[in-house]
Amino acid sequence: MKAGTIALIQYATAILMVLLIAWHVAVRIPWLHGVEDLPSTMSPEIIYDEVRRFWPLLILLSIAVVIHGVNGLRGILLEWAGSNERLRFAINILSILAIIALLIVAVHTIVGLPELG
Amino acid sequence: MERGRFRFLENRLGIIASLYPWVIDIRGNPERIAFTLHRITGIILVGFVALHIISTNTPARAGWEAWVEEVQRLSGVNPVSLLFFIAMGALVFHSLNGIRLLLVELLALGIGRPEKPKPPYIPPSLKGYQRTLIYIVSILSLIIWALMGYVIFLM
Repeated sequence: MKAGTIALIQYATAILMVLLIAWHVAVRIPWLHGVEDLPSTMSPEIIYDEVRRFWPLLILLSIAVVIHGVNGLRGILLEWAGSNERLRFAINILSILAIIALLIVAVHTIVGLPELG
Repeated sequence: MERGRFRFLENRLGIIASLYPWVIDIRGNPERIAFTLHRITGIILVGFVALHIISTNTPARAGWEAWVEEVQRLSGVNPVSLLFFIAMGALVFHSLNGIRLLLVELLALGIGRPEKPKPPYIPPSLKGYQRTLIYIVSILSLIIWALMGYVIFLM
């Protein structure tokens, strides 16, 4: 993939994240749920309802955050690696593996969500 | 190396150098400070996101009882809630500064128009409002971070 394309992906995911993270953080405001503190906004009932209703947004958020984060870190590490081709190759491979692993966990969180007892 | 009232330092490459704002002169250079803070907060957030994805997997992995126990760790002032507060500070600064970067780098707003260089050679970008945006981002970040602190620790 061209460096310019990766930079565009970084910008596109950043724009997506601005909106999605604002929503993700805002739904943790206690007053919205009529509760008194932060931990109460994460009760099983609220989380279950949120995941069932907004799972496409959560998947999109996971994809944007993981790609943006890992790619950002990859950029910093590539600067450090300089022209060492082996190291650059290892960083690129590890980045792809990290993206895949984190996305698998994120998807499992939604797909494997247990029913409320 | 000293030249008049300006101090020029060797521009060292590498990951450590990129995190040290003092490798180049930061006096009158808030852009460099914002760049370094963006990197530091970015690194903090990569770690936080990895932990967040793993910890929110708890209901699927270990059931709702384990989730309730996990969430209770955020109650009161303790190492977990302190780390969460630090991560939220990093998130707020990184997001707001990211919006500034999108405006400046992607849309070329606030950096002035190209002009013929003539003495005293002040780049148009330093005359644009992009620098004011850095100060707005810093102040807004502190205000929103303080509000988050209120929600995390005082509610």
